[in-house]
Amino acid sequence: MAAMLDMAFQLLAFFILTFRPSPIESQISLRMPDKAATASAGQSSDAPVSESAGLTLTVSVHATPAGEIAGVEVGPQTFGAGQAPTETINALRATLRETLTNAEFEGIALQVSDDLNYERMMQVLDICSHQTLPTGEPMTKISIERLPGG
Amino acid sequence: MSGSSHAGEKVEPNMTPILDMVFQLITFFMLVISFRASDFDKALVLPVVGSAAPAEEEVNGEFLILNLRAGGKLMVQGKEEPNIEGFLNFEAKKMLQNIKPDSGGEIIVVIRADRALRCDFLMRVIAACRKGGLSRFDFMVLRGGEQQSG
Repeated sequence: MAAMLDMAFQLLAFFILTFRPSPIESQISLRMPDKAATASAGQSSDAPVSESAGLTLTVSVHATPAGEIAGVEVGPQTFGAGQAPTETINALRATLRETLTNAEFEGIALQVSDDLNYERMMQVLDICSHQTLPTGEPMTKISIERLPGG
Repeated sequence: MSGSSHAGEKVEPNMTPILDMVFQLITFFMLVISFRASDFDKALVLPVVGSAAPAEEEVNGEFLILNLRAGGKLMVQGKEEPNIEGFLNFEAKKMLQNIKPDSGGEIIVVIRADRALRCDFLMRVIAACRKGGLSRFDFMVLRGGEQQSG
């Protein structure tokens, strides 16, 4: 009996010490335009949504060499220079909501700088994917492309 | 002689409770273990995003899981793929050929990238996938408030 109890407690101790519960992952789903990219890697490959759909709002995200957001352009509006990333992201959320309410855009073309880090890009993409069209439908036409000139 | 009346009797310990416990432990760990764990690179630190949707459990399609490390490495099932464009083109064609057209399924590219990854590498991977004919992308993130351990 003692041997079996020893084994059971050793097993228990092993599993308790090695158990690492995985965090629950979430996802941002994106369906890019079906048109196959023809450009080679290293070049801008994603056709802007405007080529196949209606009016597209271009959101350009510039980055510092460290990968943080240096500035954002939403159509003709520019903001975020010298601001903290959190403030820029909040400003982007408000600007996008206002712009999409007042104009009949059907999609967003997100242009990102090569230097931008992935986390900031995902935060911007998350904001874009939570916008709604003037009709009340969710924004689904989002493309990602490289910022011209990197 | 005292005790002689018990000579020949077998005394067996009651094994039922400990067997119960061992089987419960085995059941627990069998349910918790994930055989797809090798698809997920544990070295990645996923980005934290405010409001992404929980990952869907039931999706009609096949998954191509790509792990992108911060230094610009593509990891697939624990191995580094140095020829990114070649690998993705081959995998995309193979998966598109094998998927049943009448099942309504599709190929979903699951991108698990490190939060510090530069966007130029991400865009290179996306461009290669799109060149292979894949258009549906799921970007895996952690929701705000959930932090990844290790």
